[in-house]
Amino acid sequence: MRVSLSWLRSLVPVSLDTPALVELLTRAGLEVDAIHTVGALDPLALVGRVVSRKALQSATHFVIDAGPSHPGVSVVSKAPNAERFDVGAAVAIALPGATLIDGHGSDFALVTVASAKVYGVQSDGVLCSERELGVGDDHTGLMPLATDAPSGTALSAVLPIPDGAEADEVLEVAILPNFARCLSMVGVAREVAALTGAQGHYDVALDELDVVSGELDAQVEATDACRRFSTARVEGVRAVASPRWMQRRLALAGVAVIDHLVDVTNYCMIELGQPMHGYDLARLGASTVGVRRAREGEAARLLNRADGEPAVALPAGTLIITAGDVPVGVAGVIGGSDTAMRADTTSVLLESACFDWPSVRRSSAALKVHTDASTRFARGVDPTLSVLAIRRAVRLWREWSSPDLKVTATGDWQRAPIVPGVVQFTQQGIASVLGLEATKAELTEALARVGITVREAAGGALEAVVPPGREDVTRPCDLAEEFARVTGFDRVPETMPSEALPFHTPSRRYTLREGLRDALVRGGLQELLTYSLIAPESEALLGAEPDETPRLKVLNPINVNRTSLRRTLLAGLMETLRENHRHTPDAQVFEIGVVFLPELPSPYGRGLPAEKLRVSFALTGRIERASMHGGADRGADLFDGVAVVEHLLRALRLKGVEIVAEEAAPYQPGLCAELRKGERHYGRFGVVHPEVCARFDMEGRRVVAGELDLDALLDEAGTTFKTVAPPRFPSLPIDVSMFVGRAVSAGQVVATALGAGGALLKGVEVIDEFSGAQVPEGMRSLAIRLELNAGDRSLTAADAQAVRVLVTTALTAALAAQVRE
Amino acid sequence: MSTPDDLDLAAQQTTALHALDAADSSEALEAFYRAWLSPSGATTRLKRGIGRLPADQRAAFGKNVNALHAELETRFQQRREVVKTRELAERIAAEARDVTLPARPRPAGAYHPVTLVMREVLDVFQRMGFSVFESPHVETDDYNFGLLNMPADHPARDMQDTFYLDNERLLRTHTSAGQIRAMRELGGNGTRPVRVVLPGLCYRNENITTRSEIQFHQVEGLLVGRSVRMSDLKGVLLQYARLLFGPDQQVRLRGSYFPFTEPSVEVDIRCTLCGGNGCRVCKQTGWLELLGAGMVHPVVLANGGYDPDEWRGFAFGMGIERTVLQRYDIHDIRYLFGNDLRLLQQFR
Repeated sequence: MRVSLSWLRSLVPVSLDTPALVELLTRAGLEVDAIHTVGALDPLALVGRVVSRKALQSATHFVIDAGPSHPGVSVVSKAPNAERFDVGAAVAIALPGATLIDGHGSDFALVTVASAKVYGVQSDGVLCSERELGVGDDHTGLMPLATDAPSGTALSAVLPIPDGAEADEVLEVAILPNFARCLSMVGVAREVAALTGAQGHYDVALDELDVVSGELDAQVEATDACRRFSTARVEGVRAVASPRWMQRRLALAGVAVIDHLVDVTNYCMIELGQPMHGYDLARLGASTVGVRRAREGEAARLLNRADGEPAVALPAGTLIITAGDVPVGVAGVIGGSDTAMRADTTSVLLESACFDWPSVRRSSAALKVHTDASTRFARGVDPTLSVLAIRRAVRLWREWSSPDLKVTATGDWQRAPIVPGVVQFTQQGIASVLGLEATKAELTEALARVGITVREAAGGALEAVVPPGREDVTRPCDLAEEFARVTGFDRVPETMPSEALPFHTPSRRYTLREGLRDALVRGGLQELLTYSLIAPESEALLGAEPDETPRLKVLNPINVNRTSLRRTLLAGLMETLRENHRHTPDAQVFEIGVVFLPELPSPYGRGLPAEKLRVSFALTGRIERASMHGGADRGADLFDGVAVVEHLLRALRLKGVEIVAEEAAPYQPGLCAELRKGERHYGRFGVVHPEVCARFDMEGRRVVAGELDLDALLDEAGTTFKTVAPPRFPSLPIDVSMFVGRAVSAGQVVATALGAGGALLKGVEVIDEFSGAQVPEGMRSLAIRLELNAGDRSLTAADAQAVRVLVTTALTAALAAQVRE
Repeated sequence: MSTPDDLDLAAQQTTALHALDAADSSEALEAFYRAWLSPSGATTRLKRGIGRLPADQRAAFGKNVNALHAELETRFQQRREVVKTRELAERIAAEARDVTLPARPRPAGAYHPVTLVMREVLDVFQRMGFSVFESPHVETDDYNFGLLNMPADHPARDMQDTFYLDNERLLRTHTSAGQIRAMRELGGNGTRPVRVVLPGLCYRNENITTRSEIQFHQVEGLLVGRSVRMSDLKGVLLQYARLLFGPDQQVRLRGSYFPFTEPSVEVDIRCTLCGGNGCRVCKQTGWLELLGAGMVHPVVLANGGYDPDEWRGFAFGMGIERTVLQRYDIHDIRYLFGNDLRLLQQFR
């Protein structure tokens, strides 16, 4: 809502300066998003002084000193009196971006100053006339300034701005849904009066409706969606240009100026908040209009389309206005073009209604048409306004364009009598919700300022009588808000809750998850947060799931890359590497986040998808770097992936998880593994298949990645563990070398050795792998180191030999290993 | 010169002291020690040579050999001290490096800045007694809107552009969607108070610009009790602001509107940049918007299982990304989920 301050002041005296008024409105819930300034009040309208002047064809080229920030502005002026401004003379200069009033013609229009070339010379401003600055009517030439103020001073500081001046400030106020009443100048003025205690005078001039020929028949069929439907037939009107003051107010409110017939209906909407529509009776084909829901297959030509465009289909059920059962508009949204008022209109049917907001919202959304009218109806219009607005429009037409008009018929259908709301409350109830003291007198006085009357009810309770325009006030808490708003939220003190409340209870899942995040960062990985919405095509590049996998798509995606909820974090990580690898080729990243699996049940039921927590990582580029101090570059390989996975398992205190060879996309065969514990599968990792890298535009780049089911890992994770006392006697290492078949994994060798070695064997580590000429066909050489410790004594050669025999016998028997002595 | 087996002790002494003087490194001293003082050294051999002497000279010779050994030992220790000190000084001088040369590469991870701020916020609220409660990203229309006093076609739905999956399911537009779940799960059917914070990712169908994103993180707070007042909301948020931004922080309430709270307020804190004097960040007002809040609407309390005549609550909800941008002077929100590593790695 754009609020012209000069218009506001005509409705309520405002003694505050603009910043104070903005602060007051903002604190009461009417947040001011922007302040637009016009003419002499624009901060870009300054005092300037002529530095040089020379003739330029039929114009004059000035250099103007407009203060320290603009010491030499080149301006070309075509004003006839320009040559009378000598070097040193004061002028009013508006710099690019300033809003001025168009000085030509009698219509009111705004222009924004822009840089331009005039006769080939750069002109970076406008030297202004009185009229352009909105401080007078003169547009015969530049306005002389008699001022000693230094160049660069804002004009508003030196120029008297007379009453009724067109120079103005316009507040752009954000209207919250429960402030529907402030979608009008009178509504804002009432609010200002309530907040400042000023006495408003917003009872605008109305005409009595001296009806000549009787009642118009209301044809309200859709009684569920229409609360009030008022009409008036007005004859003898003329579509002439509106008075300049009305044009100005409409222009500042952001409404297009058309002609007086249309302008008045718009003016009443801005002034009072009641949207109205005028139909040209000669084009209507009926004596009055009705309201019903559209039937299947109906269409109408609407005012938002150019003449000659085809009719727009009206979805069945849309609330429409009809004339003789023919659709002539969408109720509360937009009128039809065939029946609109035009330049030759002389008789008008005025419609001024109160539609219920749900149907207007639905029509507006279905047709994607949002108008000043639909904005107001969608939030609720005061039902008491409809006839008032008709009377106001008649008055305004009669005053300017149509002194001889006659109201020949009227109608006013109401679904039910319009009565004030009554809210029962107690003084203590209001005070205790806010946590402050408030006497009954204070409550009564504060609520009276917003039009709510407090009276005693039976049994000592209080009753608030709420005017029909305030349907947001239905409960005691609404009264508490009004009281706090009007008296200031500053009155609410600061206290701490005074009752016993539950303490912080740590959640196991949260604690473990954040602990894992810490561990991964400590492990040198960079955390990422990517989008939950992704293109299925991007996930398909991984080749990990069949195309027909169920996906949750949003009905209204923002663009083609954000259409579906992700099923994996890996695609987001691969996209991140793709976007970064040209400038950041070395990256080790991870993400902890949810994926969405609609085929699995959600603990929340109700058709919601399972949301599974995953942890994913991706490593690419160098993991070790050469430097001037030595070392060598080394790219990430499979075993860096193993390192991340083991780091992660350690951080979660997870024991007994096996790494098992696996073949699965998106990983390269032979360089892929799965994490398992018994029947449980925790996810896979490996070297990303070269073709997958190529599909992500990273041909030739090696990426090691993995994705694990974090929900499953957290289920098994331990929050604590038991330590082992450090051995008091030194450990004894024994190395065992062997040839094993290629199908035998190092993991099997270690597990077999550990299982066979007995109580003295504390650990087994693979220390070498070798293939080559000396190794028998189909085999490879592995070396393991056994760590022995008895705990309470030193080990002997006999101990070592005994363990060695146990281990080698088992390796030979179970894995056909050929142990080398 | 005497030979090692020469029993002329004076000559031996002269030879030994020459050798000691010549030994100017640890290695040379080690050699000297082996040659003269070790069990296989010259003084030991001299003692063994005692048998070749006439019996009457043996006692004196033995004493002299011992004296020689003791003197050489003393002189050796002194010499070793000198050489060690010099060698250490030389080593230190030799090892000195230009400390401004580059470091050895060392891997370093980093948190995403959203995690940093989110944790800070949650940490403060947890210290104040709030428990963390998490709820799903995909919600029903009911939990996100309907049960929060926003029935279908409610004007407040205009405030949030929503991603819908179908008529019933959507991506939550705010963490308030978890309020009802928290009350129903923790409230014991309206018999127990609740004090929780609900962190999480939320979604809005908005154009991606430097200022707006389709996803962002929120933290919702919810406190339900029998005597909760708006002044408690103000006190708790003041405490929060002081713990997070310093002991001089102040909060102020402004009227606002949320369908699920009444009265509703915006809560501002003193501008953290200028301290309230007015600057570019606070648009000269001296105040920064912290969050939206209010007293839980009676309809919402009832939907959560509470009798609104007996119970009251307050709720607040704040965005995390705005604080991230402000704190780290990031001018484009798209960096946050665009994951430009050149930006993220600055958090190492």
